Amino acid sequence: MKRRVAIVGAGITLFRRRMLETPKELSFEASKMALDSAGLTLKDIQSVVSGSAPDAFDGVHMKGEYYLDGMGAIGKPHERVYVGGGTGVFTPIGGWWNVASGLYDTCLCVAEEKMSPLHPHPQYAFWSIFDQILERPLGTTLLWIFSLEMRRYMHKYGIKEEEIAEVAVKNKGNAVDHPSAQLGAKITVDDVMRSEPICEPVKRLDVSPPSDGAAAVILASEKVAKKLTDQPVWLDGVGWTLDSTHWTNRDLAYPEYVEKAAKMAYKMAGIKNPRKEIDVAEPYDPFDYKELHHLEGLQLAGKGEAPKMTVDGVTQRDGDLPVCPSGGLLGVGNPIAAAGMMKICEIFWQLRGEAGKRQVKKDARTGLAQAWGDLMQVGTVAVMRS
Amino acid sequence: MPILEKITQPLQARHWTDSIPLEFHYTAGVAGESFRRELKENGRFLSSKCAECKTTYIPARMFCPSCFIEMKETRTLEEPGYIYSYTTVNRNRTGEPNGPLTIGLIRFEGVKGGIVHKLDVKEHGSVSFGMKVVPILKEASERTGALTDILAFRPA
Amino acid sequence: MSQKITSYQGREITPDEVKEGKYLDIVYKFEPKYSWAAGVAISRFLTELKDGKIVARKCYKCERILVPPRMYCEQCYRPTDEWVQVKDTGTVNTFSISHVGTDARRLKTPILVAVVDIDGASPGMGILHNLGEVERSKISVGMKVQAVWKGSEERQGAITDIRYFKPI
Repeated sequence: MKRRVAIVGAGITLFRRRMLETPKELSFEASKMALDSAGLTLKDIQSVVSGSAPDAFDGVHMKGEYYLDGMGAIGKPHERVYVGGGTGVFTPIGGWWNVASGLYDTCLCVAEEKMSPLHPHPQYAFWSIFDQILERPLGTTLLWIFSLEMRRYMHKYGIKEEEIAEVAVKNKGNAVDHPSAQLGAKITVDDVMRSEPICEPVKRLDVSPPSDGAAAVILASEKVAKKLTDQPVWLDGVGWTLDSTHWTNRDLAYPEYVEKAAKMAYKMAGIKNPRKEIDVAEPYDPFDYKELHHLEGLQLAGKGEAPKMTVDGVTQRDGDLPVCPSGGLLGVGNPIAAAGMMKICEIFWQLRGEAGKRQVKKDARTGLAQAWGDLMQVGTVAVMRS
Repeated sequence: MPILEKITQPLQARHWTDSIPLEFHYTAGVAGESFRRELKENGRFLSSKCAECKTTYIPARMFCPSCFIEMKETRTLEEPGYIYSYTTVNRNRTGEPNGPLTIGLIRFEGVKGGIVHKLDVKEHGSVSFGMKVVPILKEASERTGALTDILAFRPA
Repeated sequence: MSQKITSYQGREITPDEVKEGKYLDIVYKFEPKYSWAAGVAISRFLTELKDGKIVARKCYKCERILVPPRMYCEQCYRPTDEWVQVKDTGTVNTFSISHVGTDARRLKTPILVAVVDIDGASPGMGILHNLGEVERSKISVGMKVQAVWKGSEERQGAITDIRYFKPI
């Protein structure tokens, strides 16, 4: 019999291209803020779950073992979970196992990423996720896979680059109100269209920036949560699935693995009609088209219909389904695992009505955060309720 | 059912050889930056002290991992270190004969943590537990704030 | 960030500060070398490429013909059954024009990249490769293409034994 799990505190550092802090120090700052916000100290924490993307960014092998002091995990049960870019949302899912199972009553979940050490560019590490015999010799970059997917998505549904650019405009605009944000800006569709082509159809402003940063949440069992706060946010549904790394054999226009993960989470949370029941969503948006791709996979938009929803303003903060009110990865920044956790934090603040200038207009009771990654093959989903 | 088709001619088994070249530029961090500056500029070791549990750490850290609070108080260590443990190395990282090189874990009285470094001793047998040691520093003008600013530790 | 939280943590290092050398960075370079076993399926695939052929594996249960070949079918979860030679022609599933190289540095000449669904394999069985002998503006999804091979004496049993795919 699984127990109900609540989020009772959240914390986040600045997201910036390069930070002075070490991974340990970034982790400490986010964790400490989460503890303070929950009115807890480290002594109250029974277990720690951490998340971080490839070791090749920070440049520390055994990264999980290295940074754990900053997560207050010395001498505590600690595990590091990993599913590439999907790690940020997978981290509280790992924490959910700890608490829902009855093993622990409190669990600190921390996601950290320091991408700036890798030179000449963090992009470079992604080269080695491709097949070493059949793909790397062709001069592969991660951008190829994104641009190939974006093109296929546009082709299948007759979507225009301008429609996709609306996502970048919305998210970077939303990020202006996020105190941690790296790239908040008021831009136009024209700015996106005229930005430098990097890997056509992907242009400079279609892409989120690499960043350093950390974010954390604290999970508690129902009993403990109710003692701590009269505003717990319940982690009522979790889901995750992976596809094969044979990505060139996959339907690139639709993320079926995200659909499967979402359905798992909806079933657990008792959600029958996601489009009606989800009030606010934070799908993973490392590229602008990915937000659209994911809205469709999450069953929050029909196949090929997410662009129109965006153009119609449905996904604005004052729309019927606000999407990425935080500013997303495109605006707040993309320290990979920390970026997914930033989305969990945002839904937590939105459902508690604590998001300040970023607060969505509608009365949000149910929210969703999703991350995605590895070799375009994983979906991780969390459904949260106030 | 297992995969029945096997490679029976060794030369048919292919290998693909390549490398993953990487270059890292690490920041020393908030506390690391102060520690390295102190070493570079003054040739001294910086420690930090926790206001709650009163533990002093070397190298200086930003936060106390037990009390989970930021440590604001720093102090340079004036007294010599001592040998906590030591070993003699006869091979390098790739396993080729090299050395002998005596390495010590150097600690400081009443301080948590330590520094691993080379020991400037003629032979392994001349090292003993608790032996007091001090760093041999490069000239201030040559120091970069790295631990290699210390050439070795020698008996005090 | 919650409106209840008024200060947030983090010390940014700006590009100018990096240039000035304001902070004491530590630089490491290393180049680990690997020799990866190609395995049963890809060893054969590479050997056939050297002969100017593309081979696939067929699963008798789902009847899919798989490229790149694998010795097991990941859907039926059983060993695949038969080697099948497929064509060196195909259809562009999707494509991109890459202005950056592996290390994200700008390229002088953009690389044309495509997923090419291989004729003779099951629908949607694509491989990653480059396009050539084509104007950028003329590339389209659905375009028929054919492999352009290196000369037989130049081929070494590598994916690059195919120089690129060109329109037919």
